[in-house]
Amino acid sequence: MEWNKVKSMLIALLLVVNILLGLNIQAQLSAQRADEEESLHLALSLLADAGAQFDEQLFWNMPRSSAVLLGERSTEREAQLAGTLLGEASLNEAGGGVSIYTSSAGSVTFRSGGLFEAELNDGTGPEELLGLIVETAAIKGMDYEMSAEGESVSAQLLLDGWTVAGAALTCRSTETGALASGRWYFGSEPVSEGAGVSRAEMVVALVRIAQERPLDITGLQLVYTQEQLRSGVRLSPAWRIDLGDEQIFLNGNTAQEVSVE
Amino acid sequence: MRERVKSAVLALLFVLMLVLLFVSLTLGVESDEGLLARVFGVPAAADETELQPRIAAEIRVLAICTPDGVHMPESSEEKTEMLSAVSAVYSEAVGSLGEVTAITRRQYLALIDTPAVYLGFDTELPFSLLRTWVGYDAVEYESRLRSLVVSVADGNVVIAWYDTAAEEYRMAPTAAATEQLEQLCTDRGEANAVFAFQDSAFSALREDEPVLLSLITGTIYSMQPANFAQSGEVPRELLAGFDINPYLARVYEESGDVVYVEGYNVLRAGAQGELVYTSGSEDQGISLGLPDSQQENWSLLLEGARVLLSELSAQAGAGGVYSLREISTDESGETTILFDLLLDGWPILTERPAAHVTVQNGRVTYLRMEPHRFEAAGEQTILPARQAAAALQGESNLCLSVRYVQNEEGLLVPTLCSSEGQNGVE
Repeated sequence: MEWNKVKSMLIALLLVVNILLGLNIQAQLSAQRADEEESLHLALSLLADAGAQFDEQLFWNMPRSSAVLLGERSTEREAQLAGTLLGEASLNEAGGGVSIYTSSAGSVTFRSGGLFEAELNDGTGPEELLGLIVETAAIKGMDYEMSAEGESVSAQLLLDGWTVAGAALTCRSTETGALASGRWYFGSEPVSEGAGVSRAEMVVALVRIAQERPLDITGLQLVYTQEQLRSGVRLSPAWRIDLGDEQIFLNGNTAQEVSVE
Repeated sequence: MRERVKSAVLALLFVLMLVLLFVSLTLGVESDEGLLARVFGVPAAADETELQPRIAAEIRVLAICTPDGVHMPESSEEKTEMLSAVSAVYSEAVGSLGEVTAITRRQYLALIDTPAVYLGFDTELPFSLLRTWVGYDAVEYESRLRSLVVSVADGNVVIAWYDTAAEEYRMAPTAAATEQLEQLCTDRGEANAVFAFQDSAFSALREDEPVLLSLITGTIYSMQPANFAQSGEVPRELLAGFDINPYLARVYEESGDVVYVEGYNVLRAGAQGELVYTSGSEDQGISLGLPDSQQENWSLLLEGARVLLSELSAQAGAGGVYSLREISTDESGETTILFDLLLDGWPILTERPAAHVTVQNGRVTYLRMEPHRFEAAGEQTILPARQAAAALQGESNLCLSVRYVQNEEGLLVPTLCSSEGQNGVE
């Protein structure tokens, strides 16, 4: 048989095999989606049976699963930001994870866990300073929301559109310039450490809570929490459940109730 | 030309087939199980976990000086939460220690005022260990302490302590954030404690000893030794933990003990529940997995020993958490580590350490432990500190802390004990 004909037959065969594999993958994905939705439906029934008051749509709007992310502290990005704000600056590694950059224009301090302070005395306004910080520190997947309150401006860090709890910067005027302080993310691009638990598992965790006390769920939102590690930060998804005047948080990795700043 | 296109399409389809096959097989596979494990039933290779220094000594007392007074945790859960809140500023302070200077007793006591955090350990520790436990290099100077205060002086966060080796009070500035310490010391709940120097009723205690004033309760436990000599054999998983091969070891009974001998290694399961491992050869002891260059690194030795004891304890079905009592290295390079056993964060009072580990060249050459199983058997309200202090009138320089003491019925009862007397305060 000519090699030409063999190739034609192999192409046809591979086309069929690839189509079948593609259909198989599609079927698996559909089955997984259907299983997950059925689990969530059952879990919501359990939650209702436990006496909780809630709008089901709140839960259906939550992402199916969110990844736990690990970000390493990046001295390069810190130096880049310090250079942008201060120009040529000297670095003092004070120990304890504290890095202090100083120049005639002011000082910038980075601490473990993303704690940050920058003071410029060159007449820079708070809005300009904050804008410089968040733009220079921008990284793929992260965004921010700015707001103004009185004479100060603030920025809230967002990850994939979701709030990162406790990660906010506030900037105000000083006599000679501006002062920014708070917690932000200056590390390397975060990598996934693994998937969090499913929506159904989170609802089952709520069922346990509902069995101990009445729950009237008025709001539900995904937030990310920051956990300080020796070499960086772990960003874990958490569900913020609004119960009227009170809020509780469920860790998206362990489904345990946690306290979040 | 047409032939080349056909060849290219064939190659592309073949590669696409491999990709689709891989995706199809891995879809829904848990990433931490590994593809091999799911497809071929082969256990995924265990991750080689590098030992990391971790705090190995129990923090006996923790007190936060708030604007409203002193607050101490009233339960092990609250203690864990407070330690977690304190850890960031504590790590930063210990890691950024500046020049150390001597201070007076009066200057030291003045620092125990808001905002301040006091941590007291159950044993004397070298400062270098505290630094390595929070992930920083050991300092070159030697300083030993049983407690320290993180406070603010002249607008800077400082650490102050009594150096037991030099017998003087010392202080060092740090680069920790003052605002972080101040924030930590607010919103801590009601004041529920005092320092001994703040209340004359506690004149028998060390001046800087924090005393919890509120009533607390603890769980009473019954205690049963995990006695393998009685059953005649040690479980295989536990033998594996001691690096003893059950198929190669000779087993015999001796005076009620069960003894396993493999080469130079001997494991004796005593009639009273004790497990004693000895290795006659430095090359054949249980490896702690330390790199060659780190075999005398105390932090890593401690972590390796603690992890080994925890694993052996779990395999024996025993409970409790091991906490450092003492560590020392002799001239031959042999390191001896003694551990206490904790229940609910409180040490069990014993004359002998709960575990004794000897390490040489990164290998355990001697290990003694007494695994026990614990079951809750009720609750006990612990004697209030004021009553305890009243009973100690006339004494001086004591510490008060809760320990588990075995009563006449063999139950472990949480009891307020003074540090020098080994008995509970009646």
